[in-house]
Amino acid sequence: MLMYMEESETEQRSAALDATPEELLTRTAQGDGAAFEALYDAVSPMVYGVARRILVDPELASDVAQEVFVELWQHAARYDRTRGSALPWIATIAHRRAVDRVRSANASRNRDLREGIRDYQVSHDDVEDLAIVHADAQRARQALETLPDAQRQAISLAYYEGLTQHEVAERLGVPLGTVKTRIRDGLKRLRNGMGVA
Amino acid sequence: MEQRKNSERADAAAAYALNAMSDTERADFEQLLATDEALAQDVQQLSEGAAVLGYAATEQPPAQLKRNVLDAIRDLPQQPAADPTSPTSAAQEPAIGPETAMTPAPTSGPVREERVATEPVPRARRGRTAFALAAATLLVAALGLGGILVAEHRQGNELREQLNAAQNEAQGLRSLLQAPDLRTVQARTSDGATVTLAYSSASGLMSVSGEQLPKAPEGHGYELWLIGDSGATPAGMLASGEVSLVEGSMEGVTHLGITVEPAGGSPQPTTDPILVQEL
Repeated sequence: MLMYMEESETEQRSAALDATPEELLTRTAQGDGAAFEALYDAVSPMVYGVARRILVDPELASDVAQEVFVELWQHAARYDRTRGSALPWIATIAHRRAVDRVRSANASRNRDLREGIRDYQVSHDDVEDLAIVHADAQRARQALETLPDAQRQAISLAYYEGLTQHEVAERLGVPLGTVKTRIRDGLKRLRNGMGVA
Repeated sequence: MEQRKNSERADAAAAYALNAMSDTERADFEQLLATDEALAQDVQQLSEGAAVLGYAATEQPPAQLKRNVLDAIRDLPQQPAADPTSPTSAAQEPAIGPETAMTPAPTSGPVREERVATEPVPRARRGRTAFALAAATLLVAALGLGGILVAEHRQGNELREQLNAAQNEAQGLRSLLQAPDLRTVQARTSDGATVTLAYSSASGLMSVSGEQLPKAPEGHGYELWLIGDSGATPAGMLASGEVSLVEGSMEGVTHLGITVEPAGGSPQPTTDPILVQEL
């Protein structure tokens, strides 16, 4: 799962890192600060990455990521293990919060303002990406790449730009029904592509 | 007919899982979701598909984020699993994302009641054991050599992060110095301290030197703002005695502002600026 490991970790630390996100979340719900920190280490690249992808501005992204982690700390008890894995649960929170922000006028202005830097920083980000790529992110990117173009396009517009299905249809100039089908088929395919049982 | 209805349900579940519904659509769908266990399961499965886009976006966060997060939750009380009176869940977060996505709302029938009535008990018990184990582990770590190693390891991580940040900053400063439209300005704060700006609109870079700034009040820091017609955009913190590099498009930016804000910064200025410099 989304874990970073250093060979030089002490055993105590490794034990915390070895725990699954589900275990860490459950322990966090009991006020276990060490578990929360391990959870942060495990999922912060995803939480921050989602926010950054949607909001572009690194500071807004940090802001939203912090909001998400505060929410995780406060509401960890709401996570119900019988209803699925922790990562999709956390990803959904992160996406909701980032999209809430981008749908507000202020953020979209900010987004425009910062669009330029993303282009400017591209080469730098590529290098950084290489350093942090791990199995899950890579597998996810591959799964996304193997989607038919039309499905990937509809899903990416909705997810990464925070558009509603209506806005996606408008942007692509295709009927809403077509967008709905693409989203549904694409999500199913993505789930299967990641080998989720 | 039945088939068409099923396909509509599946479409809606997917749009909901992808968070691609308008607010009204979402509210309608959540009502349906609250009483439909099968639909809730569909949503949960499709959410796993949607999360793949999240994994694909993985990016290393700035080191500061972790410190900010750990600071923010220190002494912050946690909420119980189901607390309808909680102001957070009631007012600020009408749709608490996955809570509504993965579990039926409190209005639902036996399923929800069962969850509330029976589940927290074993979970709490498990949690206490886990907590005890974690506490014991921490104690061992703190008493033994482990503690030192953890500390050293963290220090190593921090140093690496600082080094990366310094390298990025040096690279930015190099680009700035080579920019054909480089301009420099010396500005004075309301306290009379000199702040030196060097900026290039073309490369979207600005260095702000706070070398002469006095130390900010305890628990506070200097926050930079890029100001244009439509307001102020946060542009990072400036530590006394240090140089900050601001990266970002300067299109429409007419002024740089500095305010004193709580450490970690504010999304909007909360105090009168100590400096507003036209660019």
